[in-house]
Amino acid sequence: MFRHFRRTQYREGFIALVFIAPALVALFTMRILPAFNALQASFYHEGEYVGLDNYDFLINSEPLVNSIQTTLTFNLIINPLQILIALALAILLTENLPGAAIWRVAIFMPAAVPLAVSSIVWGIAFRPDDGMVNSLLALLAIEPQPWLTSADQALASIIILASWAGVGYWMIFLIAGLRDIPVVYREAAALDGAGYWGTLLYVVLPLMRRPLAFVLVANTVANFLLFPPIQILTRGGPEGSTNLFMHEIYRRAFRFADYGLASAGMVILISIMLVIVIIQFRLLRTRV
Amino acid sequence: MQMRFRLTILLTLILLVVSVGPQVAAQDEVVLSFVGPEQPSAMEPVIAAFEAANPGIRVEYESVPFVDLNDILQTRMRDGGSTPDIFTADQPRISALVERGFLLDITDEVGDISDMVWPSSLDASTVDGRLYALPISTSTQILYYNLDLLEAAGLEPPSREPENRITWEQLVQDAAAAQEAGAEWGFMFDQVNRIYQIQPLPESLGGGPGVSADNPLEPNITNAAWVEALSFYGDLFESGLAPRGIPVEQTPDLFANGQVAYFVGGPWWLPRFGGTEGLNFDAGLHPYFAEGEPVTPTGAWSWGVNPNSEHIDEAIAFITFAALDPTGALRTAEGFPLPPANIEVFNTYYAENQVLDGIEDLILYELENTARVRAKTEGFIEFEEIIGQALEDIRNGADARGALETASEDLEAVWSR
Repeated sequence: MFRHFRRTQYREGFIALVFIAPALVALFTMRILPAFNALQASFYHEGEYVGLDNYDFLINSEPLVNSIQTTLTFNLIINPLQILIALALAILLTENLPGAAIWRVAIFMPAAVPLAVSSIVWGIAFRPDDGMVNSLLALLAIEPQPWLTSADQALASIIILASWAGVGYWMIFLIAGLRDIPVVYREAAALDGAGYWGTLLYVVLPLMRRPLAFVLVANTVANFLLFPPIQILTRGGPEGSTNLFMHEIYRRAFRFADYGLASAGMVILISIMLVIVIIQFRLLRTRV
Repeated sequence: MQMRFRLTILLTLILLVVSVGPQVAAQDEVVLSFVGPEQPSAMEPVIAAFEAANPGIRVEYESVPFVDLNDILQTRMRDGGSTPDIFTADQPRISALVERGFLLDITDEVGDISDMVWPSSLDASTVDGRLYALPISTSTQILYYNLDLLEAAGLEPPSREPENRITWEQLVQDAAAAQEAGAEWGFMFDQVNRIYQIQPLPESLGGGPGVSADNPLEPNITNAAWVEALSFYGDLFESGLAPRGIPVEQTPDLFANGQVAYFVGGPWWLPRFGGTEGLNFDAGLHPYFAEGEPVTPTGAWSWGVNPNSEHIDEAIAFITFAALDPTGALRTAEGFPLPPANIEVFNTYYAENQVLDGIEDLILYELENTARVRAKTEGFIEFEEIIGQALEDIRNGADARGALETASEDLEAVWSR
């Protein structure tokens, strides 16, 4: 009987492996293998082995270091901002408010638009002289702003654009997480005398660790790799203020044909992301 | 069960025949892949004419945005890719493309064409005496002006006489007057943040093309002429005469919509502006600095062959037809209205496509007297990219000297690799 049970287990395991094999093959060929190729390429320049020269050039290059700093600053602001907004919207739209379903659809819709298209539309909206955003500000008697044409405001403009496009998407995952919480926990909290905020802070949010961990990690990766708005709207300017590292890597690889340096940049970017993601996992680890 | 099995086999065989059959038939046909920045409709006349004259060869054209053309070529051809067979090469980039191994040496196959195309176009398509692409078009820039907006401000149109060419100093005054009289914008450049468009400013002051005459991999963009010229450029936007935040693709719309009084742009906009209802316009000579000399940009497109193409003979036949054959070159010019690089076709084209009276004389005068090619350096792609960023920064308010010094340092670092 025990042998039969083990045979059944192996058979089920094998069937499961067959089903996930295509995904594993895709993961290996499109993610893991290119990452190792990039690592190898980072030690070469124009076909010659140069050791750590590419890394040395990178850490001593002011534009490249500025690009890394800009990327870290960008992520320090946008990741918590998007998560907080998505969470607040998810909590609001899981209450039994009139029109909640329509609002959920409306907030999610920007996620269905390709980011390149959103970038072009926002580029027109952000025009300093006749854009829609400044026209709305004029209604509130606020002076027109330079937005993408100012080194002080361009990064903030990109944050607004990326948040408009992404918040709805992450909100959906958090709504699913909220709905997964059994009602009995809220009822038990209510019986114990916990008010709305007490239930939210001490019952709901702790039970949201897993979906929050997923959203935080996925959002961090997406924002570290953000590319279309920079490529289409600013090309890293004004004055390098929006030169996110993904754009700088692309520029080095495909405009300057410096694949070794671009590969070194990619290795550094992935390493930074890995460290941040590990920290995020530890912070949101579910305690048993 | 047996019937179902037989039906399955039969259907599978039919599917195989249907999917493989056309490919087998297509093996007799040579298909040339061609990548360029023009709209597909622009290529239809020359492709149709070539295919009619060469049964068995089909040309498939793929249009990509100009700003992405270089990136796309780099991606596809970097590891010796065999496609595209043919591509559009921006003439100042040809040295860099040859250095990257992307262009086939066609000197021996094509022969001497020096009496067939404009000298500047031929020079731009040649590296170390070898021909790497065939010139298709050339270019210059003219000063368009909105007659209604000028009339509202009581301004005389700029002269077409070379001895009375308008200066930048006068143009700024007139543009400001037009703006005061009701024009939304006084002035605008066509390719507002590209070295092609802006090079005449420092060149007019004797600042040179941006690289050292002794070493084409040494930037020379921080001399007094360059700083003065680019400060003038930045002031156009700082003063509100010209708008910020409008991307290159949308600048001609400003003139077509009657929003700007003066617009420096290419003659390829003539059909569009001429066909715009309600737009009352004319064109004159490109401005220059009073203390300098008249300079106009030039250079446009050549078509080249991928050295790793599997259809080299057919590819060379196509570009030869499009550039040198009188019928082919005329069909090429019909598709997109850039001045043809083929001298014979140039005269025919403008005789048949008059939008403004005498505009071909103006274009010819500039091509023969004031045209200045862009910096000839194998580092041109990096040069164009980094200078473009500096121009955009200056346009958005950065100090010209600081932006140029930063760009110069970036260029030195990139070229040192």
